[in-house]
Amino acid sequence: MRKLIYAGILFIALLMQSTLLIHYQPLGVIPDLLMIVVICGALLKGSKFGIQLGLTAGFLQDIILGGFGTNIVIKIFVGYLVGNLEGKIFKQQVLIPVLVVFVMTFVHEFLFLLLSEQLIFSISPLWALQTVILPLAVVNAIFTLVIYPVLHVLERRLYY
Amino acid sequence: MRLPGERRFWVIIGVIILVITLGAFSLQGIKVKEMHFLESVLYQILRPFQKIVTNVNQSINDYWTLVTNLKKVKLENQDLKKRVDQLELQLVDYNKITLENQRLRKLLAFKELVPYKTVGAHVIGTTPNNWVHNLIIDRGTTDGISAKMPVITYNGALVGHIAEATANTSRVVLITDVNFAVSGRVQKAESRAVGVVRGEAEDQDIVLMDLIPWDAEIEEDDLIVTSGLSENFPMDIPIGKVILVIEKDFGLTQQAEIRPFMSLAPIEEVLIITDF
Repeated sequence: MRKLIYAGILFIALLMQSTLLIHYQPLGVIPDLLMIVVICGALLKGSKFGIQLGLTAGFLQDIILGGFGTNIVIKIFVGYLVGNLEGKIFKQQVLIPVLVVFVMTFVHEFLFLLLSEQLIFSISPLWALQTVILPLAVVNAIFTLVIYPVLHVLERRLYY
Repeated sequence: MRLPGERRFWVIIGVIILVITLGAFSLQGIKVKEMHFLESVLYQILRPFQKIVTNVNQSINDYWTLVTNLKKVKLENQDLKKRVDQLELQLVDYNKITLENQRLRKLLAFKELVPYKTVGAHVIGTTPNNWVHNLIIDRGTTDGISAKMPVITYNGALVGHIAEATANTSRVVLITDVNFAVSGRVQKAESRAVGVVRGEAEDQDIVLMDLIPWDAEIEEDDLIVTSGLSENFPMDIPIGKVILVIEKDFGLTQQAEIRPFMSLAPIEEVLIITDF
């Protein structure tokens, strides 16, 4: 049941990301809703669930982008890494996931650049940081403020 | 004896190996058939939503422009009517010249210039990625589209080429993309220099023309067109205008910055050249 619901959420996130958010890009970047869902899910349910979420999210994204592998590897890694925090933080506290998403955006995007050989040789790290990664981290963090509470309420519903 | 977490470890290793293998396949350009099918299915599901959002967005924009610029639109309309009259006059001249050209070609037994066969398409979205912006259009293999076909705007400027085509949608790699390269040529009487035109990751508004011979005549405002040396592109499709020329490789070659005629923002419809 949980897996089915999360699969639905991931799909809706992909839909939003590839339609609405492309037309109305906040701060000129497209927020990575799939990554936010992976991180929030991993924080709530642990690293095993994080890996499963990362696999599904990465798979969906890679299919859309045509390439295969980059997003799966990164999102599994992110899901696993964040999942290790489960049990060590207060789940009621919304600022922790916001902070985690902010930090993990940097990890996620740098890994993406490292794994795309065409990009890594043609852009300077400073430019990437200033025009894409930093605004993206801010926008992702803001979106987490909405997504995390929704998932948190959902988890409580599923549990009881 | 079992180490704690042993099974989990091997599962993770297994998944990573599988993913890297599939990734290597796709880098080599080897198509995994099932992946193509999945891509097709996912695009089919996304397509109606993308179309709805694009259409709603466009009509809101249109309505807003109309409301805010009513007076401007009226003036523009008057201007355009005048312009149509002028152009119609020019068209008469043009037709005369075309006829003359045909006659002379026949006289000299020159091969006729055949216009390309094209298919029109609507842009229904871009890929959701902050680094690579590909267009998604609403035509696919059922309309005769296949990978590597050139894509142009309605006024003929080069947009890019088809990266992948599913049944009803295709993905277009833009000329401003780092993964794009085409052979370009300077279009003027005293210079026919060629170079490699490719995208620039840091600035989506320009493309670079590399490997121009050091003694080639190229300067600002020169027109750059496709050279026809690339197998998949017909010659003489306009790419853009030169805005800056610099020396590269210690003076052995030159590099030009080009402002492409197509700009990313207003592209709503494109033409795909299916045969040339």
